[in-house]
Amino acid sequence: MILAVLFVATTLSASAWSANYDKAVYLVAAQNFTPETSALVAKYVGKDITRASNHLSWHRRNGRYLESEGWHSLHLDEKLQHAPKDENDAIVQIEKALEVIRNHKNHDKEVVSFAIHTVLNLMVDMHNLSNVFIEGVPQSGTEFQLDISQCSMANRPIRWFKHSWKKLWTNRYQTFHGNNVYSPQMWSEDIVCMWGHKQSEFSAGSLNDWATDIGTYTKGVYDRLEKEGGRFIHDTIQDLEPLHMSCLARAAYRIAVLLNTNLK
Amino acid sequence: MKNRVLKIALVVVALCVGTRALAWENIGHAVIAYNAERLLDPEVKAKCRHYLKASIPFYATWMDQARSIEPYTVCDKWHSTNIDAKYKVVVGSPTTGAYHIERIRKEMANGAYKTMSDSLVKINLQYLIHMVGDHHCPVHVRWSKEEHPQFHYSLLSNGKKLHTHGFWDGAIAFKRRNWRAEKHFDHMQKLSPKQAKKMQKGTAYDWTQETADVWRKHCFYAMPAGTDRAKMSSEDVATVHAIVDKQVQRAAYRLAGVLTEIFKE
Repeated sequence: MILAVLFVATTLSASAWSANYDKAVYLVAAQNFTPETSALVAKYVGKDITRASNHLSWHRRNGRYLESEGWHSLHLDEKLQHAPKDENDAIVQIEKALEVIRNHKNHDKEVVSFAIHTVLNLMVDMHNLSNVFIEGVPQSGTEFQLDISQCSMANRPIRWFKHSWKKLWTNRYQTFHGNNVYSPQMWSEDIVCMWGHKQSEFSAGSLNDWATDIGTYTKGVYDRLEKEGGRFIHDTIQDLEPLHMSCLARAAYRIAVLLNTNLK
Repeated sequence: MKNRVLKIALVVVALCVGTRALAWENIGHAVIAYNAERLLDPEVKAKCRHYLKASIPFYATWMDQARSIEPYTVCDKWHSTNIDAKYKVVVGSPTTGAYHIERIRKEMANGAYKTMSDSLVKINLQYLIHMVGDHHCPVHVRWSKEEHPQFHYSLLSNGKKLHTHGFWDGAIAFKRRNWRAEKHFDHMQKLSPKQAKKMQKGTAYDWTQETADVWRKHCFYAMPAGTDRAKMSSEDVATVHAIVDKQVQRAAYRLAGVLTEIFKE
């Protein structure tokens, strides 16, 4: 029992979204690969790209790449510019992986496979608000508690529950929609339905531009939380769902751009 | 054993012959909406997605989430419909869901949705997607305690009290915890176009009456007071599944029918 709890806690801390969301992002990204990229991703990752979900965590659970524990977060300065303090940063590691991917013909298959998995995992992770650290925003990137109100019958007093920030962003929306019954394929269709029209906008720019974009929406949510006294009422949570979906869309379209450009 | 098999068979036959026909928690609503979307022809599906800016299942549970939020508190009572002392559905009351299903159907019929703002079409669809599902959930017919005290009782879960409403709301996932929506769709019995048309006939009042009858003639006997859901035999679980699967099928086909009736040119 204790081991099971520890396992879940480790998994939560290591991954950004639930596996369903990760997989949905990969499905959307794969829809936008060039034929060449598709073939190479299939060669190095396998035909089912969704199996790449939580790959780094899987390695760590098996005692490998333990240093990757710190790679999942994104660090920004007060002006929301990418500002890593060391190698424990998603973009730093993605750039290293892209170097391997660009020269994939000169590396062992396993090395390239790990690099592509790294890009897939970290691109998703860095788009999750709960993995973003902003200088001068003390709560960012940390596992703080907030009060959220539960949906209740009309005309009844609001009931408040302690909730964790990470869980809010990682699992809460999934619960609204039926948890695991809502498959990655279904999420992927919703990502495209809601945000497909923004594909060009989301895809434009560099990794550093994307970092600032992520910082901007993350800061927006923190500012709103502060304005609302550290509590999110149910309709605020509802209100934030399109943003939540747009984070997934951003990650998906950007993965496609990175791999289409670098895996040739 | 033979009696149990007979009991399941009788329930299945009765539901299939279907005189009149079960909120489903988030899982059930998602499944019904997903199944309905899979049943739609591409033109209707595209129109639904155009207005919703999402898939149909994405909005399956919205009404449950919105019921405590202004300006939607008005729809708090639309999740169910009353049954009178003579077991008949109450027609024409604006505090019932069946009334609003029919109201929206009429308001959007014959291309009238084209005269509505996109946001009104969207909200109407969100209502329909949820309410059609709700009105096939056996515990979403409102039996007053005064007139029908026999229908207000509790079940058990590992010896602990479990409200019967809670059981039936979650019955679609009962013993099926790892099923994806796709699996639920594959599991659903498919109908020929003629059979589908027959099932889609009628009004939300007819469907609610059917659901009330399913409750009183089947659910009530399949899960009598004091039944412990943790100690049910596989045959009894199968009986529950037969009831729920039929209701999910009805809800999905009817939701698909309502959406087709609105959007099909």
